[in-house]
Amino acid sequence: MINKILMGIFKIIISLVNLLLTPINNLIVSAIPNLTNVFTTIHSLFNLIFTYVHWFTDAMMLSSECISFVISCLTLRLTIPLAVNTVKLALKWYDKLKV
Amino acid sequence: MRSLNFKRLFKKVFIYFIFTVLFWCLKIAFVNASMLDFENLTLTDNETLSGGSWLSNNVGYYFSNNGFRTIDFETGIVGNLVEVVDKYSYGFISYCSYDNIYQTYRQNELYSEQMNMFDTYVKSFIYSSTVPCTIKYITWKFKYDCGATGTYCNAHPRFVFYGDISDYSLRSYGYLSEPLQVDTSTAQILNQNAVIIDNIDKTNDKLDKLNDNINDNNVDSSNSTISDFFNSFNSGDTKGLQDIIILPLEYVNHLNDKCTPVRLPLGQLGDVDLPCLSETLYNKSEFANLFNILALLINGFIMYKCATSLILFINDLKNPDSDKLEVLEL
Repeated sequence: MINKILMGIFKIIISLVNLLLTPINNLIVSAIPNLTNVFTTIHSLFNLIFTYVHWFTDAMMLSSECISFVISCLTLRLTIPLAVNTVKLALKWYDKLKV
Repeated sequence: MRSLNFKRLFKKVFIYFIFTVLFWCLKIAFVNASMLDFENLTLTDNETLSGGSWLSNNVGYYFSNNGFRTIDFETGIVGNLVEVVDKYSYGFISYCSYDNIYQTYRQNELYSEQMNMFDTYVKSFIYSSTVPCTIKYITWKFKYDCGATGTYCNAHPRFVFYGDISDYSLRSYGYLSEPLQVDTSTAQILNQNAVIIDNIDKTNDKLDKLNDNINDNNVDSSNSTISDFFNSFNSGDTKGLQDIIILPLEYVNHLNDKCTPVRLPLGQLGDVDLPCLSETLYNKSEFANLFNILALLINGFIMYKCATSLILFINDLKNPDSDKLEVLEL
């Protein structure tokens, strides 16, 4: 049940992201075609980096637990301010509505 | 005179002998006829019973005679059985008895015995009483299950009664007034009941599955679900704006993947193959302990630094001078 709900939420997010980004992407492709090359370059850069990143982490003797922990910490650092700001924004709206 | 008397006496004895012989002949004939009535009481012939159906006679078959001491009750599936697993037949018969010692009529003093059948042979049980008793009635209830519910087998149940003729007269056999039988309508009702029960079972199974699905709080497959989440983005433009946004996240998701040897291109110097050190160097028995300690220190240091920075970051949330949140708000 929970798994299905998660999958449903993911599908909604995917649909929303596609819905928002597709027109922008089409606009870039048609209006600024050279920017597509930049995207391709960035894609190639990520590919290049991640071709060696596994070897690098292995050579650095970084365990999977350590990597997971680092990713979790970074996720928290990004999520906490977002959550706090969301709450603050909601409170601001509530105060304005109350007035 | 004496010879006349002797002739008369001889004539009487002869007539008595003739009558005696005739009587015994008639008696034997009568007994044989009764035994024929009693044996091989076929309940149904060529009756096809659905799997799991109950064949029963809840009313019971009534006897009205004293004198039974031993009842041998047999049943079984005689005939061709469909070759399915777990074919068996079980059931019970019951009857009440009249106890001559205490002279108390105990209705529903049931003597029952479960019978199991694993093949086509006839299973029987014997009721023996130390005293003469009256068989008031016999009820039976048998279940013929030749396999899974809904399957069918050709069952030819046969009920055979034998009486103990050693102590009691054979007339006790004669009180079986009518043949045991199950009419077709009853069999049809039983078959329909079996179908209904089968459908109810199927519905219950579906409800159980639905209930299990609702109550399933297992999130073990969340990793694969998250991978699907990232992979689903690749269905569209692979080198567009979506890809740029999702690509780092996708790679982070695969950061824990197992190391694979890489080839480092060095231009004119040629390519250098870089094997995974964990498989070539770190696992050497000579250095294994050393590298384990080293890995522990490195990992511990990194995790310690991450944890402390996170704690400091959370503490900074309380600091009004901290501008991290405000920066985000901009």
